[in-house]
Amino acid sequence: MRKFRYAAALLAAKLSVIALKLTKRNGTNFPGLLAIKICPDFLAHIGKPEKIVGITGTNGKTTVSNLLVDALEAKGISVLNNRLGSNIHFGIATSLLRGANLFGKSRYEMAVLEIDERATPKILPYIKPEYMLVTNLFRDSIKRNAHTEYIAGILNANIPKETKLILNADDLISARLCSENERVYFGITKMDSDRTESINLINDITLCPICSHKLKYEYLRYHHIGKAYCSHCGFKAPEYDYFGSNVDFEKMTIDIGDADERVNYKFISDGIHNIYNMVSCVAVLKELGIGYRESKELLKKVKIVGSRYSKELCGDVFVANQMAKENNALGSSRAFDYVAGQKGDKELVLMMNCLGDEKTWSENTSWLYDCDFEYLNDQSIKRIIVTGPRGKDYHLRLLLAGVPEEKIIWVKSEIDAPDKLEYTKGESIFIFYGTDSIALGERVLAKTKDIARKRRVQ
Amino acid sequence: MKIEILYPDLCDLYGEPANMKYILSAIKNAEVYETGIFEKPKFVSEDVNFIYLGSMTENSQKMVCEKLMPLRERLRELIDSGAVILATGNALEIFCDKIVCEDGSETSCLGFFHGTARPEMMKRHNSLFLGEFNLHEDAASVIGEEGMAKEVDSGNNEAQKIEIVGFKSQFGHILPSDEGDTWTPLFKRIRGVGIDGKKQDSHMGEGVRINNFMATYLLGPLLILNPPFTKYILNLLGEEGKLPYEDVAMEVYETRLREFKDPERGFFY
Repeated sequence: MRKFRYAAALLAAKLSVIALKLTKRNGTNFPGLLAIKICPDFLAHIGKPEKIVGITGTNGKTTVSNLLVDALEAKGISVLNNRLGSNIHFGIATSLLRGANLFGKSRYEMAVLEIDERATPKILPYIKPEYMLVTNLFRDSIKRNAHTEYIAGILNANIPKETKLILNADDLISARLCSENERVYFGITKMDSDRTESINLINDITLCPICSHKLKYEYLRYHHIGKAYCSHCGFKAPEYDYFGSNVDFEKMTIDIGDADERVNYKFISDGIHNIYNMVSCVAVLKELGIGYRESKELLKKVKIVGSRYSKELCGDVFVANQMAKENNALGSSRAFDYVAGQKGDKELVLMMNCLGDEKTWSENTSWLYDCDFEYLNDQSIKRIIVTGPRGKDYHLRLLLAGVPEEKIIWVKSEIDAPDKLEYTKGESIFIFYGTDSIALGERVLAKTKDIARKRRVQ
Repeated sequence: MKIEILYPDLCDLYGEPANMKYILSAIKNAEVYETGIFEKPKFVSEDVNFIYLGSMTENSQKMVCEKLMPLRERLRELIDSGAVILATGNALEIFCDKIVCEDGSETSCLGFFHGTARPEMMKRHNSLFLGEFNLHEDAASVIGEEGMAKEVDSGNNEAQKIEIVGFKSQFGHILPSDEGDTWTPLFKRIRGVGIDGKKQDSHMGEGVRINNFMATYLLGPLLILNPPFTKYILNLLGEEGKLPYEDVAMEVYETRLREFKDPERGFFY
């Protein structure tokens, strides 16, 4: 009965793949959803590549997955991935299905699967990754993820015992996952910009996990990311197996390696969170047997997906889009910190509204008060346009962050935001949008670029 | 005025620390104590005017209960003497009888009202809340007409109320057994669910009030979302100052009120 059910699911889902191809709707999870509806343990039966790398964590999992897939493909390895679909069980089932022949046998050597932390109970009982990278764990969507203890509990309960973990030693929350699993750690050694006390609103681990006394930091980078120790019981963060060092923002370079060998890499992006993404990617590649010199060459050929960040000179100004995931205070704080730190004057458009919620409900805006809008209280930021359903909430939040009232302009509709910008020669304009507002964000971006170019012509 | 923020090193979820930053900006001459989990609370040895406790993780709930249990009588004394105490999110559960987890383990709580919290970790409840808060006449005059909703009750008396908007996001609910005996609901429920989490067949309001002790499952920046309610608390504390950016905050509040009153708007995620 079980075999029959799987065969029926495979056939029906394969037919749906063909139907979707004909109707040019390749990006949906429907085939996987259909397969799991017919056969709930479809993921157990569908053929999988021999080697599977899982990527999970709060921030950076999409970026690292894309980097890894691109680097491995540049080496000529056929890599199954779920970048076209979602990172929950339906998306992964769809990807495995697309990568399998009519008999359900996988056509790929390797899989790199981005896995949503919350979805691991529906994925990891059936898929046992040989390696699992956990980028970090931070506070995320209040509705789904509650808090980091909750998500760490889910990962502890679901990551298979036989999976080798690749963990961020600078994140004391994810670094302590699944204590019995084999593991290696990555991190970045002390940087000039580090501090020892936090300036961020979110600090998801403040007490020693052993004795519950206040943690201290040899160096603290952002939020709880840094090298922690407890002066009360002697507990300290794990040592690095792979590490980045000598970060040079002028030359855009970093040394990455281990105790025996270090190679100088060019950054893919100069945001510190993206430097972590790069170090973690190099660590995974090394675990897969690809040495530093080779990974350096492979990573030269890849870049960060344009929907997350891109910058273009349009007329007299630079126009950039900056992904700042709605409901994710940490992601937006990182994006704000990064943009505020960029050279030159700036104008911003904030439109990270949770449009999915707004269709039916109303966005829970608690995350705005976990997010460091205070970074935007910076002299180089000349104007901030707040817009969309929660535009007035942004307005109030910015005021409470100390941003002068005269810098903030509210406009009801997102598409009208570019009309309110000044386009002052030499400045940069950043459009902040989230995953819910990508399509709308791209329209606003296009309009902004258009106006900027026309102003130059005039 | 003495104000104590209890355990901000643990009770800092969902942007809630912003509540105190907001209200403190409107209080003159506040002496603020931020008491860490390993420190002795100020209220033990001194009369404190206002105590705040925010949302925390489930493990932190156990630590907080352990710390507060020996101080139960002193807290009760403060409540009876009219000290203002505000607890938001799952800090409410610290004041019920106990928390019973899915594995059967129990955490004894302070028992200021009777009921058991039963978190279900794979069933997170998310909803919007629209409610009303009844005012004393003296407080009504301080808050002003802008933040007031008037309603004529069955006795033809004009009751004065504040409308409340908020968010719920939690693992458990409480079905209290002694409503009306020692406590009253903090907010009347208009839309959404009350303290028991029931969508139907329930008369329960939201939260618990005993004198000026106010505990609610509503979480996040509750005081920023509800300037009239914040002004009410200021009034209880004898303060009459303006809130920071009060005009903008009122505009945000009224926008959200209109949304939450829209019958087409879903309330349960």
